Amino acid sequence: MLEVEGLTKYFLSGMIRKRRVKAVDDVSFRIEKGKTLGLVGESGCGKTTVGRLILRLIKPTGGRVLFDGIDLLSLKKRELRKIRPRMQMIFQDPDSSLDPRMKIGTSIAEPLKVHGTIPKYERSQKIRELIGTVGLNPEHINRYPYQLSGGQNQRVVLARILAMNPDLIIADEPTSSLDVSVQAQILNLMKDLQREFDHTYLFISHDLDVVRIMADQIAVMYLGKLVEIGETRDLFDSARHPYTQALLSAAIRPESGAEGRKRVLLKGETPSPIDVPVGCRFHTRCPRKGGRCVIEEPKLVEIGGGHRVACHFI
Amino acid sequence: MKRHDKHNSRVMGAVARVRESRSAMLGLTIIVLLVLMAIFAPHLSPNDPTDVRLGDRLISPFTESKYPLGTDHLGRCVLSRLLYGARISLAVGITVVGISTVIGVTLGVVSGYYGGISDSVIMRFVDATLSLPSIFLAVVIAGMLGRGLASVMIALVAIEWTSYARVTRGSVLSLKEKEFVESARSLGARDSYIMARHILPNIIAPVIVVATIGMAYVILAAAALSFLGFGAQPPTPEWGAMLNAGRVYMRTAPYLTILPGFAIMLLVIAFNLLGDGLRDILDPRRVVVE
Repeated sequence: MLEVEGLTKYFLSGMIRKRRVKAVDDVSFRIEKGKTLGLVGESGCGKTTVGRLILRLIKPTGGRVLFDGIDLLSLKKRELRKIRPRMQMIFQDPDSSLDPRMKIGTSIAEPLKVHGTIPKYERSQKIRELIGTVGLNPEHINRYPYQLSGGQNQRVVLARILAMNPDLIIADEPTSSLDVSVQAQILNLMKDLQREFDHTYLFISHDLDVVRIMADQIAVMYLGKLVEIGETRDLFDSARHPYTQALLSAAIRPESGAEGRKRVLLKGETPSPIDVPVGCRFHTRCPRKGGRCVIEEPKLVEIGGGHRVACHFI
Repeated sequence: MKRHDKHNSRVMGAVARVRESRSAMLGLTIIVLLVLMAIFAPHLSPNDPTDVRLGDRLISPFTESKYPLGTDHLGRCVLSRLLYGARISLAVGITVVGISTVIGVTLGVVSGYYGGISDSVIMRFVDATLSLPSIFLAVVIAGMLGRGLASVMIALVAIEWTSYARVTRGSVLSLKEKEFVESARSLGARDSYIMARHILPNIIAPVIVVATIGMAYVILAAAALSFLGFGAQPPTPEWGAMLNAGRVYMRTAPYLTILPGFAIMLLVIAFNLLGDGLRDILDPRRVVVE
């Protein structure tokens, strides 16, 4: 369904001496139809950039994105606009995802209007239908986003996305600005919708507990690179990369089945993506660092069952 | 402050807050009064503003009921000329600000939305205009185009549009980063659609503020240019030109300069008060937070 190969994005920063910021470096993964890949990592590791690159909201420096066999990066502006409705993004902040000067109903109708998929007289019927699907009342149609709560606005965003009938949905921390109880509601809604419409999700988050519920597969990113990827259960039960282990131990909760797991503490700060460490990017903070890590960058290696790890000590 | 009904639309909320802002309310009241005076000038004026009566020269104000505010050096009724002058000042202000807004907002949106070369070209133009003293530039342009109100208006538009372009560009730059614009893009909407439906409605507030304060500047500048002899030509009753004509009689008939000067001041202050009030009311931060 979605195949990402060697996706790379360098930003140039600085006025006179241009320096490359390696936001995303050689990221590859694939998601099957109807499945969810959870992309985790700390803030600034490039996970949001990956989402935007896939949708081509920004242009990648290199790599390929195959969507249903179509190479998105080779498409012309017009062809891209045609295919866009099939891939949608949910953003972190529901309040700025909606135009503050547009009524809820108008926002939901926008995709229908832009693509002219449904004749005008059927639109209001369709809006009512969508608003019911996401659990809102018809009376919300004439409200403005600032009159709704964050959770309600995120439902509006979902309704808007459903209007386009997409195949792929990239959710960029869709619940991290919501209360915990509302989070659960939105996550359940997203799961229900996935089951009903066979959506494929790329679920970006820093919250391992959320990802654990949502994802079939998990990919862990550090400083623009994937360090480990595998089935959700494999990753939670037998994480191999020291960074993944540290993340899991930080997210310790009784139900995570991690009582016996040793707490892995990381020293220091994440290095700046302008000065990516030579060799393994993680060596500055790695508890298992060896001589080889400073010189040679480890490749993602398959260790069975689709579980791949980028570490010299596996 | 009184809490507003949550179901009030944003615009109604803004109108209600104008009532609460004293300075905006005062400015608005003066403007409305002056506009009414301008509209009904033919009915309110006791005399024809261009009627020369050499027998009634330089009559002081409040001395003859036929000329409530006296007469000038050609025996023309000062009150009538002031009333008709309001028409000219307001018409010049509205025309110049209107055209400047259209030009400035269009170029500002293009500049901010597309960036790149068009942005550089437009913004260097704006910088170049802003780097020169504006009234000096207006004098040069008006001088090249010849006398008359039309050339004054063209000269003022040439300067005024830059502030609209700058304000618009700034707002567009920050809007462009908002998720709802990105989500409209990922929906497959055309650039023209995004600009018309998402960008424009969200930049109206700052543009209104700039336009209101711009009105004050334009009216003052138009009067200044007329004072210098570029704008309205005799016998047109224009406040700046009246000021210039009365200058010679400053010692013997000071009301000939004081009255038009006061009229200019009143209109300019009114627009400034309204603009300042609107700036507070329509502050984009307040609009977003709410």
